[in-house]
Amino acid sequence: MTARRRRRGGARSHGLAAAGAGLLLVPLAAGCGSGGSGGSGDVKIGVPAPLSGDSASAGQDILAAARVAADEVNKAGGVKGKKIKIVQADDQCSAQQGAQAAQKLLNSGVVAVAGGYCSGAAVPAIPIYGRRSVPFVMDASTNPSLTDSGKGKVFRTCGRDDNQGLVAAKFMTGPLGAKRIALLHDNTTYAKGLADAAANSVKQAGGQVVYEDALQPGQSDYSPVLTKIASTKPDVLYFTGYYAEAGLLMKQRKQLGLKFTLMGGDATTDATVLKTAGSAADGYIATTAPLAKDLPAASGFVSAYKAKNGADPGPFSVYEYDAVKVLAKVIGQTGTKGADIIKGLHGVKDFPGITGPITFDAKGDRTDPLYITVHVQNGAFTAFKKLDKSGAWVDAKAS
Amino acid sequence: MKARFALLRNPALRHGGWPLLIVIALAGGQVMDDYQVTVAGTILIYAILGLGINIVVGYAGLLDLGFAAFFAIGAYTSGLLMLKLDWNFWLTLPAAVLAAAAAGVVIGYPTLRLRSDYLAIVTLGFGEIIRITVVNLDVTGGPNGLTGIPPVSVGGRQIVTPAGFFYLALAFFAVVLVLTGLLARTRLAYAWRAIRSDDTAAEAVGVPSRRVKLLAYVLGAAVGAVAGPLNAAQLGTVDPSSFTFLTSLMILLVVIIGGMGSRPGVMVGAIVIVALPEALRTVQEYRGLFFALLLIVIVILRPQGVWPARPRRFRLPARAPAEARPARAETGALLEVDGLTREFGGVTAVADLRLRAAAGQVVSVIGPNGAGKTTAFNCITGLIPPSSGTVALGGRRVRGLSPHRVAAAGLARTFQSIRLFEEMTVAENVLIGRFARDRALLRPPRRADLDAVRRCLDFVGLADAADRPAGGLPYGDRRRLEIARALAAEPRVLLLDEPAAGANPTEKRALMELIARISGLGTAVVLIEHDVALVMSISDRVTVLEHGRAIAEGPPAEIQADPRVIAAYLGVPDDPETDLVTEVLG
Repeated sequence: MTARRRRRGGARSHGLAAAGAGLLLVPLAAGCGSGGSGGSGDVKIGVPAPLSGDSASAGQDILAAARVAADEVNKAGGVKGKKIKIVQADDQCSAQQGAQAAQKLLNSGVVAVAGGYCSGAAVPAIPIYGRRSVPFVMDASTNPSLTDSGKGKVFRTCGRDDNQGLVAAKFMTGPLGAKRIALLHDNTTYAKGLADAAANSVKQAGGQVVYEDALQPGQSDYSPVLTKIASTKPDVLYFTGYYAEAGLLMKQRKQLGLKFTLMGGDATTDATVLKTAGSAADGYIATTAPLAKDLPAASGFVSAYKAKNGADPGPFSVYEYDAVKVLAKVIGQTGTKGADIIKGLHGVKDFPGITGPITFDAKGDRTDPLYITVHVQNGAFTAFKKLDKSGAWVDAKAS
Repeated sequence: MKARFALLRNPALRHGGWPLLIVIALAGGQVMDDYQVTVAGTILIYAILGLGINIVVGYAGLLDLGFAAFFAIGAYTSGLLMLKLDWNFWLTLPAAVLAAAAAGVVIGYPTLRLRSDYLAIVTLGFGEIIRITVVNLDVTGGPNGLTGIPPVSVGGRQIVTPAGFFYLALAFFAVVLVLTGLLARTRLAYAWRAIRSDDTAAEAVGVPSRRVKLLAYVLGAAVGAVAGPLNAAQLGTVDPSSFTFLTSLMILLVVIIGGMGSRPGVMVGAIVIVALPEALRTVQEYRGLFFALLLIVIVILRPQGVWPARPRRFRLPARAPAEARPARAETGALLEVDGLTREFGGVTAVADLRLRAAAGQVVSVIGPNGAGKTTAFNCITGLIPPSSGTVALGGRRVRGLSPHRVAAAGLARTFQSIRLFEEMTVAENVLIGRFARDRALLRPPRRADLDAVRRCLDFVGLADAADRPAGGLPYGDRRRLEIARALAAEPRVLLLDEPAAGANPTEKRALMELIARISGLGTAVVLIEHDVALVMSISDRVTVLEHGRAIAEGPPAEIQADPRVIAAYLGVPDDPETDLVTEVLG
């Protein structure tokens, strides 16, 4: 009896399972249609970025900048007579999607990758590109560990968090004359890394870290956090999180009538901040890698970007532009073999990028310091101060 | 017919289509490119998570909005042991499962009494607590998570390619599939479905509901935790952003889209959740929008899930063998209730109740609405604790025991408002009644269980409806099914709470005949009933309650003549219309 009971419905389940297996394969097969290294003869450069979700606006900006760079290269004859084609992949700022986006790009036959926004999505992607020896030039992921563990196959045109933390600490303890410094992050890889780097540098510069903690991103009221911070009597609050929270912090700091200076990291220099905070943004200072409009060499890019997208380029667009340009240059010299491109990138010396001369060190980081400070004046971010070669703070607009 | 049987004897088909699916997947691994196998690997990870949450949400019906916590615990436990203590991946696996199972106890124990919304909030909080904890601890790498997790090695070969990982995930999935498949056949799985349907009724008929719920959390967590180390091995990193509330929702969606309690549904759900967004890469930035819209469309078109769980057909024995147990030779009072009192705040619902029921006797409790009859039953069966008094069953004191223990001691009951396990079949409902006799959870129903189910269904005349869902039965059959479920416990005392309510005269006659046959088995039957004619004709003794107190007790004839009873039922004794009283009672 029991044996017979087990036999129930065998034949039917079999048919259904086949249908299930079909379901498993169909979407994947559909996904593969657009892939394949194809015989189009284009040189494909992959751009992983968050194209949907909370950070989509940054991702779209990065993608648009890559397209501007590719258009320029193609108008000037491409690389070795071939056109550059930008292949995008949405990484949604997540580890799982980052890994899948990386595979998707390799599948499409990209010879190099330029892009990325969140470190969390970049970390699992790095070994995937690394195994195939496909170079990954990052435009926005500033976590020090990425190039530290990249085995020389990872590069970046942007700076490193520890470098920005150092610049922030020097500015707070220098021109701002702050003694008591509060640090606020949002527990993301990037923000905590930057806050930790700033804390170290503040202590080395003789300042006192009176507060270091995280806020919970995505909320609408940060007055309790601000009140708590005010109770530690800081001279400056340095917020290393993202722009959505930064705007609210400015607004609510003003509403609460708090006196300390509010400063932020480079993820807060998005124009959205000004919309959120309105007049409360006036006087806000941020450390940042220079924006497009702070860079005299970038004016041509800015007008090309505006003409193509009808909007001003965002903060990471110049780095993405440089990443694609430097890759195009190197591929033009070495051909499309990944290992050769990597070797070529290490050999780059003072490539004239719009963000300044580009030279990569052994890890793949830029040798020249990048970060400056900007402040909000008349409802717009304008360049404020920068460190000159001697280590003194000078007006950032003076070139 | 013979040919068909031969086909069914084929071992590959006998166990459903899963082996075929595995074979297709094995072959698929050969033809898919790196991207496709990466996505397929992720599908398998979500399928494992889905099989885990399916236990908690699908079977036991405990809404869990923080299931990613177990995923995280599995991933971090394994990752930390590999990075800090240089453990081998395979050694970290049992550790990860154990850690998650322990977490299942931590989340399960305090929430045992919670249901629906409250439970959802607690699990949501638990998920966030785990995520925020790992983000803030230094040992877990804070927001950076754990990086540099070494690849898994199998037989000295490191698994680094996406295809290699896919096969590893497939092996894990197959093992989890077999284990959950075995689990789905156990009595525990039936108990889960019963508590999902009505945990009070399940407890009352003998299911140890607290233990069963806790096991749902523990086993669900243990299964889900397997996905953690696998995910860490796939990505080489454990990133806290992988374990957000959104992840918990996605895991929950796997079972909602696929179909609650359906393992093939979990597979379909995992494919939809993982592969659909990948397929939607072609629509670029509208991906999230389309994904959300498609999910809404799926839920509207298939509200029960794409592949809803189908009831397992029960192969009952064709004929119930004669009862193995000898007819009870018990004599004397089986149920002895003394001084039973229950107060709610200042209101005394039951006061100093004394009740006796001997083997083979039918004892009725009557009284006007609100007299405390049902409260008395609830106190006797342990559903609500009495304020004072004693309850003894065959000389054994059962007051203070939880309802399932009272049921195991030999006291079965039905409810005033019929409480069946609506989504389960008639036979399954009766099977749940067997828990009072045999509380074993981790094995399939035994032959003795099936025989008893058959016997009880035959006894009440529902054998033909065995495989129908209980929810679809007509009213009279529902009453009889509830009695059959109580009889499956082979009770010494059976409490029937208004079994004749809403029955027509024919049904009432059938019911009277059924009660007589039950008492003929040597079972003491205690009846709450409003139908005075019915009570008087079948009862050996009658107790009349008013305002929680017994105002009369004795044989029917004596009760019918008692002026206090007449007063309680129809007002003051010198009511001018005493004729009516005699008419009704006579």
